[in-house]
Amino acid sequence: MTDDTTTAGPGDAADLHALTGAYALDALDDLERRTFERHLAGCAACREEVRGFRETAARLADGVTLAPAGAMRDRVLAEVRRTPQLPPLQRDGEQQDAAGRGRPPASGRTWVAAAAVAAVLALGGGTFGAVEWRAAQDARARQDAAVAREQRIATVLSDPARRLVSAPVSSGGTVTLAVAGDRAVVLTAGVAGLPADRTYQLWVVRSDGIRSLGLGPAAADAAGSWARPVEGIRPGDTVAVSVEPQGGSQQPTTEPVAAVKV
Amino acid sequence: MEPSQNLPGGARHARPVRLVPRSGAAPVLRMSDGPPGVADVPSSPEALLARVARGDERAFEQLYDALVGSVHGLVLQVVRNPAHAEEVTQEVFVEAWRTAARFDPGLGSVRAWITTMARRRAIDRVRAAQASTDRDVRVGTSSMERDVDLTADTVEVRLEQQQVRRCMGGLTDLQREAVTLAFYRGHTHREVAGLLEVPLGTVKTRLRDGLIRLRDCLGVAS
Repeated sequence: MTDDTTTAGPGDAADLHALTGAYALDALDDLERRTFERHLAGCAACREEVRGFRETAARLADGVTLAPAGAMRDRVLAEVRRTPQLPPLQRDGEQQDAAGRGRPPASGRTWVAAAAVAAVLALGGGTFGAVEWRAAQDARARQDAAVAREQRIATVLSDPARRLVSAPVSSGGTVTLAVAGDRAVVLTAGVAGLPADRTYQLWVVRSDGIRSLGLGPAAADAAGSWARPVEGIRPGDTVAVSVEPQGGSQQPTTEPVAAVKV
Repeated sequence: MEPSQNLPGGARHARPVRLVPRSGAAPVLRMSDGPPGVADVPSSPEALLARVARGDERAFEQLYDALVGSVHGLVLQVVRNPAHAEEVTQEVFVEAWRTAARFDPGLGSVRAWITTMARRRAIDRVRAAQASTDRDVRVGTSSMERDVDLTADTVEVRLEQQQVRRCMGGLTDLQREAVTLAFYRGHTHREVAGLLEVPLGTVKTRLRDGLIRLRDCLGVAS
């Protein structure tokens, strides 16, 4: 992996190295984490230290072991039985290890998903070129959280049974919901940009209340098209989008700019 | 906390293979719930996950039984809400099933993989739900020892907890407070600095120093 973006001087590097502990405990904010991950790509000693810290953290979890209610086991096993598994990740110029044998390459799925995004946006009136959908880059970046998110998006969009529902956004543009079972992807097209201190936030609205489904991209990337995977969607729910202060709100503090009935 | 009796790099403890709690473990589901003979063969999380990656549900059940206690306990520490903790724990195991084939052994153990995923999801849940609230500002050091006291009853779990506690006791106060707030409570290092009223740079180094000491005390191969 090449480190193509680090511009830090030696002093900064020493400072960055001290972040191994905070990084291993996921205690960095997004910007710091990205900066540190670029450093990590070129620092084998740091990777080794992070790895040791993660193992240590796993042992710390043993210190607070507490079994959940027994009914959860049945729920997890039932959900697992109806949850398809992802194929192994294929990396450029790298053969997958033993865990990957006998499965189709991820690129096939990625291609299907890209086609699905294009189809969705054609339907929603957006243009494919504007899509903020970066599966390829993220996979290469090995950022597992981001990769997992793209994979969740790809899983829904490439599901033959997925349904599409669209609604206009009051401030301009369209929001489209691709639904596959209890998973969905919120796709926007042509939505307005936001000031730096605001964010789009997604909500599920049902009779017993409103729950956050997460935030849209950082304000700088909020305009135009982006995609967010969401889970725990049921028929009859409404997925709404509102503009909230940066960092999000516990409950909507403004009128939704869009609402899509599942 | 009892005083530390170890020095860095000192006693390495042979860790009991804790796949499932043994007899007398009332609150924890055991593998013997499944058909006898097959399920009782102990396997490492690594061996189990390799089978899970090939769609083996039986292996998944064993992996679940082996890890659910520490995952759920940790998630509960972070989210502080039993219903949310169960939701997050459930999501984590379903995600482990979904992405089993993408586990990269080069990046660490299965246990660390799942624990890391669990903490991230728990932290995401807390940060999303409470981003606009004045979360945990009152959480001081006074509540920590109580928090770490949520326990289960098996002998092996107790041994593990004693060891963790002993090693936590070997940290300086500031190291212990920083690690506790960041690890068990899911605070960012910036929040930890605010809560402990120390400079950010100090928190960074205390987190790292504290983890180095814990790593050596717990005998984690580095």
